[in-house]
Amino acid sequence: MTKDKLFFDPYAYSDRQITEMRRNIQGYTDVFTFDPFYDFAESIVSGK
Amino acid sequence: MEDSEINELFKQGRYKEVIDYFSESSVRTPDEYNLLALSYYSLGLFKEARNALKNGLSIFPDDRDILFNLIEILYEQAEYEEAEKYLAMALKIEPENYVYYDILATILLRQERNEEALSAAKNALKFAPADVSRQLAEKYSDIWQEFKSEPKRSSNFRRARNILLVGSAYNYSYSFRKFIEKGWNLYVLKTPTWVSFQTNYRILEDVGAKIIAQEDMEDFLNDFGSELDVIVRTGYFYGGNDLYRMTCGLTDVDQIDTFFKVVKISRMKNPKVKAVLAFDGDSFFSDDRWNDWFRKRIDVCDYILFDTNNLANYFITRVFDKGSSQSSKVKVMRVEMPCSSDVMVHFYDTYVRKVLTMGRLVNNYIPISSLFIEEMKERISIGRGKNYDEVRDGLRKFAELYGSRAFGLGYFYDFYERAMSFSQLLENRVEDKATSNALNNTFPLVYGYTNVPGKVITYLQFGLIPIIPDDENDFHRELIKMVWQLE
Repeated sequence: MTKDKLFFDPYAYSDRQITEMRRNIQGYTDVFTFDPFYDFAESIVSGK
Repeated sequence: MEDSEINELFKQGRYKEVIDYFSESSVRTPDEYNLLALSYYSLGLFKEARNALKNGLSIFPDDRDILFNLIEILYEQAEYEEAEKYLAMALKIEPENYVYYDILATILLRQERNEEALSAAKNALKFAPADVSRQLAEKYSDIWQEFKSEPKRSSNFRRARNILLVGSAYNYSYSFRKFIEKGWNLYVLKTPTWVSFQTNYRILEDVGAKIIAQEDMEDFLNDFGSELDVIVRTGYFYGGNDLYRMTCGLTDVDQIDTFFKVVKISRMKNPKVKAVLAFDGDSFFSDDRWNDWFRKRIDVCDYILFDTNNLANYFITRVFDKGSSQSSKVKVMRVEMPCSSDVMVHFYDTYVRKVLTMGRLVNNYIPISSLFIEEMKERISIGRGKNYDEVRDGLRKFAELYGSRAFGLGYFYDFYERAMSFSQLLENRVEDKATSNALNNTFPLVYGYTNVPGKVITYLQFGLIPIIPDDENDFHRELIKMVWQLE
């Protein structure tokens, strides 16, 4: 959202586009999950 | 009074009279010690019951009934260390008693001493009668499956890793269970915390962490300091945010100070232990006094983690001297997040065209017509809860009630009223403070640039597309690039 676009219209997006965005979320879980931190801890302990 | 009369009193549930009788007459036989102890036990006087049995054992060290009752009571009272001691004695006397092996296996499993538990369970099965053996096999089978699948059972054996979490973590503390699932031991050092976060210790214990009271810290470090692989602290820091500091006191300082001390002590026992200090997005570094405090202590850290790049830069600018080598320890890594196994993105043919809102909206600007807004009314446990079952129920409930909503509204409260860009804030060493509705305190708007909003994480967890400001917050930028890309 930008300041110039004052109101967001949820009907401006089709079901297909929403599904596509959900797939994007599903495809980038590393951005918002604990798992990368676990992998990081493993790597610093094993020296990798 | 004859033995038979005392027995009769006991059978009739007249426990007080049994105890009174033995307070005037000496206890002579193993049966009498057992009767006295079981009378105490029946009245809920567990300590007295244990003492009576221990006295009996000092006179009749090989008495099977006294030993059995003592072990049962210790086990029931979760006095595992002592129970183990008497189990060892009992197994010398009755090396083929499956009950003792079963109790031992259960205790060891609770302590996650899986190798030893497996060995005890095998003995329980070996010596149990056939019908009992089947029941025991069922009881252990689930645990064995899990155990067999662990990498440490493979030929590439490695000792279990040990991680110590100092403090409770604030959001998604139960995500630390991933370490346990992967065969690590998770220890949590309990430090004072704000009342809302107290439940985090309960949920951590519920998912299998071993909680260590602060007064036991020294003993713990003496016993396990050399075994620790990672020491981590994660959470907020309110240096310069008096609005929050007033609510939470100095619990953040106390926690980080404990972390620094624990690392120093552990390093003496194991120089290789890794010290990880993580800050969530609720962190502020605008008080020079606390920044000096950090500067003098921060070198014990191997890694310093931040939710966003902006937060990391805010810290580097305020805390480190220019050109400090400590900057190389800084990483953007989010700790207080859900496990990927708790992410529940579902797909629908048609989505409900509503924009979900949760919690507070500080200023009045909402960039969406009220016709499209759906306010979440329920309190659903997602990031925190009394135990993991409650959270699991919360996850299911949210998915059921709101999983089909297309969008969720992120923070907008200060978006259009910021006085400076993020780089200007850093350059001028100010926080762009706004008045709040709480007393006379101000709120540092730098937060909008540095924070990862918890509600946005919840939306992402369920696949709701977050409506977020197109601003300088690098987490927002990352999401815009990641989610809003369409073919």
